[in-house]
Amino acid sequence: MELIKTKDCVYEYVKHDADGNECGKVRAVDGVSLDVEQGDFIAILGANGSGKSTFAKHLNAILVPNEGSVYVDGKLTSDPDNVWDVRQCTGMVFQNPDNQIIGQLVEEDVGFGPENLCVPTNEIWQRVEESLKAVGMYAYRKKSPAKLSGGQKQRVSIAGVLAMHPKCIVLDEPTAMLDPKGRKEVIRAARALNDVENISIILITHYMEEVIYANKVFIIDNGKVVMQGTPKEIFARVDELKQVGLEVPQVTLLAHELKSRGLNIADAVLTEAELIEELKKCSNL
Amino acid sequence: MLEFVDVEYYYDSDMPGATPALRDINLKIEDGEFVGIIGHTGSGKSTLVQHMNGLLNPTKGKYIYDGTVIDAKSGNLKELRAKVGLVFQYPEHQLFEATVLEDVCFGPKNMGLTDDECKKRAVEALDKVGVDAKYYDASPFELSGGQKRRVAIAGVLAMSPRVLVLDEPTAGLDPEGRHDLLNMLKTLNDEGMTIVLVSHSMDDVAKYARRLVVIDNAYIAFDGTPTEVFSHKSELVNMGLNVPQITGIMQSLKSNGFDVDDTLFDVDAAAESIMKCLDRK
Repeated sequence: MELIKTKDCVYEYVKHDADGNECGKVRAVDGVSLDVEQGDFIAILGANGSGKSTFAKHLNAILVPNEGSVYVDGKLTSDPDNVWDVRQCTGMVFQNPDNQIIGQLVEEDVGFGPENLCVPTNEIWQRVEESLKAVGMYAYRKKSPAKLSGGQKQRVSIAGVLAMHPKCIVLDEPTAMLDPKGRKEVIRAARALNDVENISIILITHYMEEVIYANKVFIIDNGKVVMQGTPKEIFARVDELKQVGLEVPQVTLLAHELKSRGLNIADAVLTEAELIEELKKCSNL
Repeated sequence: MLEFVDVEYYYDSDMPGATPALRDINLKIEDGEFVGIIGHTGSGKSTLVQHMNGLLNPTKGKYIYDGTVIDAKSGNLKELRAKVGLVFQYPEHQLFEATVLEDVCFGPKNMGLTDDECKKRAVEALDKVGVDAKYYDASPFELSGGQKRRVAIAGVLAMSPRVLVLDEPTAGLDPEGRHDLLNMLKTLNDEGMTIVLVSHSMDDVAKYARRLVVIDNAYIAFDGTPTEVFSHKSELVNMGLNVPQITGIMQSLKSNGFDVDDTLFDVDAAAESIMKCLDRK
């Protein structure tokens, strides 16, 4: 059975004018059907305002659909009795780490989630330790979150979700505010949780080069899924991506340029190593 | 011209064991430059740019704008802020008026201009950032993320600054929104405005800035053209930074025996260099 199944998910909100009167509706999510299996690494791409974050909020019942259905671990999210189970199954990490960290110390912050789930104290400490180790932040457990770098704060946010033992983590632009090293740390942590713990990851991002690790990519435009496939399938469609305000990773673009200049190079080269291999073939090095 | 002379800044100068957020800053930015500022989170970049319009004043040393030393006592901050506009991270969080046009008028109004002059400036600024007249009466909160950010930048442009300082203006924007915004900065620079751009994207600063200043742990680590700065890959990686993706690829190709130009960061130029290298074999 799928871990998450959304069927024709629609979300509309009502617009108000300056005086608070209703003045029309906006369909932010327009019939999205998408399945997530345990262990999937899924990337969702889309322009600003495409509806991808609104859709993501349906995956842990922050929002529930107006039409269609969302099942998380077999439970319908729109049934209020299921909300706690849904949120324990799917954890969310947002863009700005400073809005998500509340503890005075790193370990207290990570313990906040399991404490709310009424986990016994001994087990909370055990979960805090495991979670911080999983994201490489155990050495910082006694530090104040305020003293950490952006990438470290985001990893603490991920550990906080991990301590609730989710089956799936949704990361909504987790690297948008980070420097290059911080971005690498966060993506590495997400990949490790996926590889080692088999936790499903749903990554929303504007950085195309973060998408290449995904096994499935969905492109959302105007609330609809307009393209889906593996990173290779998606990034072979350079021109279509441009039309929806997106692009391909720089290495893919360079390979595409070289191909259009007559070099015999495979479609949708995604990594530097692949490009070097391809060029070695071309030059018999 | 902006000038920092031996500037040191402490957030906590009266605390024991205080550490400087800026140290030994000597930096001159001439009129008409396009300068990129890069550094890891917490390196001191934002502290540096907040000196530029006098939000912070040096603990030691001097910050000079057009020959005038800027400090809290001399009372010349208002004049400075009309000339040096600062756009914060996530400037759209500062939108608050009922309509787009009123929001952009807020700055000029505070400068004491007449309503007609405020409106004229606001319309000019919105035109520069590419916000269409049909949005003037819309609530700023109904716009998309990229549009909101452009309105917020227009709010600063409406004060007709000579220097525009932006702290990570592209964070969270989609690729198209990012290119649009950076191209707009390029146009403003072509028209003579000095641009100071703080960014975490090595690709963006390589493409748009003509000079890069690298801040590392409160010091200026490098100051030069993008080509010069990005030739220091291992030092940059140690500072939590990197080189642009294309430069990284070219450097790897070179170490794999390809005779390519490893200072490039533009896709077309890189493709040319690779084609040339393969032709020679």
